[in-house]
This record gives sequence, structure tokens and C-alpha cells, in this order.
Amino acid sequence: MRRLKALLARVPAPCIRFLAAAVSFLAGLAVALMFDYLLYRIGLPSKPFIYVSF
Amino acid sequence: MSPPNPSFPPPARFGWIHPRCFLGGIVFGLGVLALVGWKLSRTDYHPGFVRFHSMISPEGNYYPTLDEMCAIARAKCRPGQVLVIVGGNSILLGVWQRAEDVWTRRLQELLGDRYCVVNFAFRGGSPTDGGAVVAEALRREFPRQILIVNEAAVTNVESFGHGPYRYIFWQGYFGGRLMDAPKREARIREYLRDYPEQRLPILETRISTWFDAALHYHDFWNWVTVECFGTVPSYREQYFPYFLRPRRVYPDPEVDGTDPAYRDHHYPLSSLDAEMRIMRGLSVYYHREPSGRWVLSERSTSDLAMYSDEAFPEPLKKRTLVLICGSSPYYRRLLTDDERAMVRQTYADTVATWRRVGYPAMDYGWDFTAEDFGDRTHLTKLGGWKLAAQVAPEVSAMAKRLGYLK
Amino acid sequence: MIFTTYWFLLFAIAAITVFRLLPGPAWRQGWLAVACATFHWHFAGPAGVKPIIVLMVITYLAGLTRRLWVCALAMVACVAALCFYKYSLFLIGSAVHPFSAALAAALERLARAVMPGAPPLGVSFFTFEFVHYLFEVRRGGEPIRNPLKFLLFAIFFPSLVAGPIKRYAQFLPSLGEAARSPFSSAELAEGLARVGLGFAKKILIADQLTAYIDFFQPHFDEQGFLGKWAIFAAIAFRILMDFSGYSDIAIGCARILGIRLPENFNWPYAARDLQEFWIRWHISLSLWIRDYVYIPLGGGRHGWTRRVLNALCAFALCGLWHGPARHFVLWGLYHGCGLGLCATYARIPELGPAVEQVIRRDPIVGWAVTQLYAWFGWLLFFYPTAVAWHMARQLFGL
Repeated sequence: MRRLKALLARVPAPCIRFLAAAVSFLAGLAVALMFDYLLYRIGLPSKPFIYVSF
Repeated sequence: MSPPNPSFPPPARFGWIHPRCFLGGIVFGLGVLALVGWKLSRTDYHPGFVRFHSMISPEGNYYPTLDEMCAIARAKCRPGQVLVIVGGNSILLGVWQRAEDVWTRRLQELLGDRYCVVNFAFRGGSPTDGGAVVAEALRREFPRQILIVNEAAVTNVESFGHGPYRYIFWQGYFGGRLMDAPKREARIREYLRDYPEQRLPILETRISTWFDAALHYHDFWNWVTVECFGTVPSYREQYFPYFLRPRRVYPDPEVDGTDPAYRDHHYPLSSLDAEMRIMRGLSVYYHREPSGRWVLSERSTSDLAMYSDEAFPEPLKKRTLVLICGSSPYYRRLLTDDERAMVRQTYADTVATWRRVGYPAMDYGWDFTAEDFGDRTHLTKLGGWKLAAQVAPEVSAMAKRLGYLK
Repeated sequence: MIFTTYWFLLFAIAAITVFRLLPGPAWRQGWLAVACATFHWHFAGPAGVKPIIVLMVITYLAGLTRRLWVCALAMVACVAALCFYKYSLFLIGSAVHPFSAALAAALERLARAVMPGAPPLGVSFFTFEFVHYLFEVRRGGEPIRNPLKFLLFAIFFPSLVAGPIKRYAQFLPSLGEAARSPFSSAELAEGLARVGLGFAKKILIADQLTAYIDFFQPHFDEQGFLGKWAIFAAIAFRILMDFSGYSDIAIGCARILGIRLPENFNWPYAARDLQEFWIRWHISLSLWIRDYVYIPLGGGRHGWTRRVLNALCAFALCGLWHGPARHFVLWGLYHGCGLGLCATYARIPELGPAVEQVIRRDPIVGWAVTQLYAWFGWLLFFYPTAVAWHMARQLFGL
């Protein structure tokens, strides 16, 4: 962690800002995907539906 | 004096998030997913579709959407063809028939190129499930359509689907894709009154339809499940990571009932009593006249007529062929002559009732052999082909009557 | 799980959007109260709402009086309501049945006739928050005079069903600030990230582990060595992911509204001793138990025997709070014993200092022992005692 901080300290500020923005955008995409899957998943029964009696 | 503040840990840190970019990512992500989902809801991603076998149907925890089914019908049916949709239950789905031998393929061959047969039956489905909803939703797009459904004798049909497949009806209903049907509306209101515990689940379904109309997540994730990777357990692969395999890799698991390897599975002694009870149980709806004739009770007659009448909206009745399924002679021969007469009467009465309220209807199976059946009700490919041979002329006659063919 | 319903998602979107659009604190707090009441009514139904309204009114009025005995009586009423709704049948079965089966049957019939089908939604959390409030007012804390604020403290929707258990001295300033402050994209982003994380824990991990456990646990004996330990680990991680996911969603929802709820989990499976485990696991509950059971009982002030007894008593109650069953009590006692041992093992002649030295030299030993102890506790938590004991023995091939 300390090494990462030292490494980041050497990166120019505009690059850090861009990196933070890009990572945040990607995190937003991941959360969007999660919410989309959530909407799909909560419509399904939580237990597998097994109906193979005939 | 203020109460002491206990030492809770500091809140989780999200300081690294750039709020606007993060929120932009969410909005952009949801937008793209909605767009892709919308496109997929109009795409057939089941190339070579034969039927909803157990790995791509609710019994395998896969819930095809109404849009998905409509897309399959659109992809299969060329302009100018009469769309023949097969709904109903496992009998019409073709249990005991391999995908390559399934009866609907034979029906397609017999009907020829002017028709397009699509099998949307589900195991345990009712006449108003799956295929029926698709047909109603596509009534304007494919005005030349015939729906084939099946039901057992003296069975009342709920006009808004049944059990695990009712979600397809709600998708059409709340999505505004079904016809106005006052009798069905009244039946739904009555259902909600009689089963108040169902109000919340139905409200949930209604809200989910709104979300889905905006985001099309159901179609997107169904496509992911079929094409890329599974996300929910199925009856075959019940736990992580095995259910990650995409559903497209699973072949249709239905077996050939004429294969001698399954001979012992058709009429097991262990189920003999239960099957016979089902057949003899039909007598509860009947009483015997002094002449010896079996007569359907007044209550059953009126119920059957009422439910059949309400099952489909009035304008769609004439294009709905109702099949009343016969039972295997293996069990029929074990009945007394009297009981056999009663069973025969149940089929005749049921067909007559459906016809009386406006549907083309027929029963089948009385001239079939034990080898035509895989068990008491399901047909092997031999029986399936006989069924196709009996249904095809009826479908042709209906198409002529309805003015589909010039 | 209430958070995984379409109704909740629609409700949360509407409630939060309107809250953020309204102009002033009064409007916002009023709207939030309406939204919370709607949420409570929808999920609890009339039978679940009525007893909570009664308890709420009693607690609010008792707090206003600031009299010691009134607050004490109100606390008794809250605890009695919890016992009645949640523990009646358990108490009849455990305390009356051994002496008179007929009397137990008669009492059970009576209880079933009087009680609703299920305990009122969130009754355990309501009780703990009300007791906390009354206890603090009794101790000299300022009561909540504004009924709207008290209502919001009582039925704040993100924490209504399963916590975190709030402290009013923290909640009210946060509520006031949220009602005054303008829309903040940082709070929205932070809240959504937290909610997303919570749902990911619940749906992507906990639900998959549940499917795995449901499938394999019934065939536990047939599994190989690794299979058994995999199920054991799955049981431990399932509850962490499920519960901490739930807390994340609650905390995230509140954050979107601009309100901070207390943290509930802090990497509990990284704890190196059992005391640390309970500082990291279900924090709002363990702090409540510490502040309102353990310390009032005397805490560690009267020698180590009393300290161990107090810990045992507090944790037996903690176990019972999770549900009306013997195995929950046993689970609580198991942790109480563990904490007692953790606090006193160094005093055991010869062995104690030696063990202490090993743990100091190699912290991973302390971590492994702590986690094994806590994870074995989950067997007691989830399964009847005999099954849990059998599974524990099987893990070691006994």
C-alpha cells in the first residue's frame, strides 16, 4: 500500500485525475451491470424450480 | 447531557470515487444494456429452435420471455405462411419424443410449406399458457394464425394461464399486448379477491414489467444465459461453478420412447394404482341414468362450459383448436366395460362442450396402440405421428374456413 | 429479503428522488416520514404495524417525562412485547412443558389465538432501539421532543427490518443535516456504490453459496475431507456475505438520502482474537449488548469470575435474540465461553503463558484459532445441536 502511494505520488496530477475519472467510470459501469442483473435475478425464484415428475 | 457515542468503526471509504464519472458510468451502462436488451428482445437467439426443452424452460430455471418467444415465431414464419402455434402441456411438447422425431415436425411436413409450425408447449402448461399468449400478442402481426392446445377431459381452464408459466401471461397483460377480454378481466378480479395472498406477487410482476419495458434486462440476461454463461442453477447443474455453462451447449434431453431401453419405464407397476385412480376418478363428475348412460353432472357441465367459454377472447376462439387427450389402451383395457364407457363419455362431453362455446375441438387416442404411448398420456414418436396425421387435416380445414388460404 | 423486491426498488427510487427535490427541512422530513410509514405498512401489514405504533407511542411519551420509573416501565413494556411476540411459544415449550404438558398445550393454544401468524416485522430491532433510547434518556440524555423526528428514528426505512441498530444521538444530527443540505453527487455516488456492493455480496456470492450448501449439506457425510471443509467454509462465508450485504444496502440507501448509519461489519474474518471478532461482527448489536446488558450487569468491574458470568449472560441473550430456539442460546453461550476463555486463558498456570507467547510470536495462530472457533459456532447457529456436533466431528474424521 505504501509502495502504491509512493508510486502514485510520482505520477503527474492531471494523469491521476484522468485515472481516477476512468476508474470511477468503470466502477459505475460495473454497478450498472450489477443493478441490471439484480433486476433480472429478483424476478426468478431463489430456489431451483424442479418439475421433472413427468 | 448527551448520551455517549459508542465507538463504531469509520465508514467504508469511497473517497477515491469521482462522483460525476461514477454516476455517468451507471447511466451510460444502464443505457447501453437497455439498448442491447431491446435489440435482443427482437432477435431470435435460438437458431434451429424445436421446442423449450428442460434446459431452456422454467423447469431448468430458465424463463423465456414473451418477446423472446415472439422473436422465435417471427424468425421461423415467412410472410405468406400461416402461423401454427402449438401450446399446451408436455403431451404437445413431445415428451418421449426426441427433438428430431417430435410430432410438430411431422405436422409441419404434413401441412407443407404454406404453414409454419412452432412448438411453444411447456411441461405442466395449460391451454392458456405460453403459446396462447404468444399467439394473442402476435394477432396483428400474424393475422393468419392457428393455435393448437390440449387439455385433459372434464378439466376447467383458467383464462389467464397457470402456475409457473403464468408469468408469460402477465408479461403480455401488463405490457398491454393482449386483447381486451371482459370475461377474463372479471376472472382476474375474482382471483385477486379469492386469493388476497396473490396480490403482492402480482404487484411485483406488474412493477417488474414496467422496469423491463424500460431496461429489457430479462431479454439481455436470457441471451447471456443461452449464449455466454449461465447465472442461475438448473435442475441438472445446481451449484456454482457448474451452472456457468451456457444453455446452448445442452442438447434437448428428451429420449425416444420407442427405444427398447425405456420399455420398462412406460408402464411401471408402481404407478399402476395411481394411474387407474386418475381414470376411474373421472366418475365423480358423472351420474348414471336408469338406462345405464353416463351423464355429466349439471354443475360440471356448467363449469366446463363457463371456463371453456372464458378461456380465450371471443374473436380468437375460431382459430383455436382444442385437443382432448386420450389415455393409453394399456390402462384402458384394465377398466371394466362400464368404466370404459364412462371414460369414453367424458371425452365426448368435453369435446362437445368446447365446440358448443365456439372452438374447433377433437379428441384423439382411442384408436392408438399401447406402443403409441410412452405412459398413460404422453405419446411416443409413433403416437405423435398418428396425432400429426389426425391434426393436419383439421388445421387445413380451419385455415380454409378462416379464409387464410385462397 | 425485502431489499430484493421490485416494489422496494420502485419505492426507493421514488422516495429518494422526491426527498432530494423538496425544498426545506420540514418538507423533506415530512415526506420521509410518509415514505417510511408506507414502507412499514406495505411489508408489515396492519397486524405488524399496530403493536409497533403502540410501543412507539409508549416510548415517545415515556421519554418526554424523563422520569426514571416511567422509562423503566416503558423498557419493560418493550421487552415484554418482544418476548410475547417472539418467544411465547419457545418459553411455553421450554419452561412449562417439562412440568405440565397439558398446561403447556393450553397456553400454546391461547398464545396462537392471540398472536398474529408471525411476529411483527423488525420487532427485535424496534425493541433494541427503543430500549436504547429509554435507557439513555433515563441516564440523563435529551429526549426527542419532535414527534416527527421520533417517528423517523423509529421507522427509518433502510434500517427498519434488520438494522444496523441506530443510536439516536448519532442519527438525529445526521437526519437534520440531510434535511438541510442540497443535493450532493458525492453522497449519491457513495450510496449507490455501497448499495451495488451489498447486492453483489448478496446475489453473486451469498445466493450461490446457499445453492451450494443446500445441495451438499444433506450429503455431508458422503463428502471427502476437502468437500466437508469446503461446505464448512461456505457456511461461514454465506452468513457474512448475506448479512454484511444487507447492511451495505441499508447503509448505502441511507447515504443516498444524506444520512449516515453506523457500520455493522469490519472484516470480522480478519480478527485475531474473539474479542476483536465481536468488535468487527454485527457491530451495532455487539455494542448494544455491551452498553445495555454487559455493562449494566457489572461488566468487568467485579473480578474475573463475575466478568465471565456477565459475558455468558450477555451472550446467551445475544443468542436468544437471533431466534426462539435452543441452538441459538447455545451459540450465544458458546461465544460467551469463548470470550471468557479469551480473557482469562493467560491466567491458567504454565499452559496459559506458553499459549500466550505462541500467539504473540505468531499472530496467525491466534487468527486461525479464532476463526475456527467462530466458524464452528456457525454450525451451532444454523443446525440443531446434534447435527452440528456430528458435522464438527466429521470435519476431523472422528
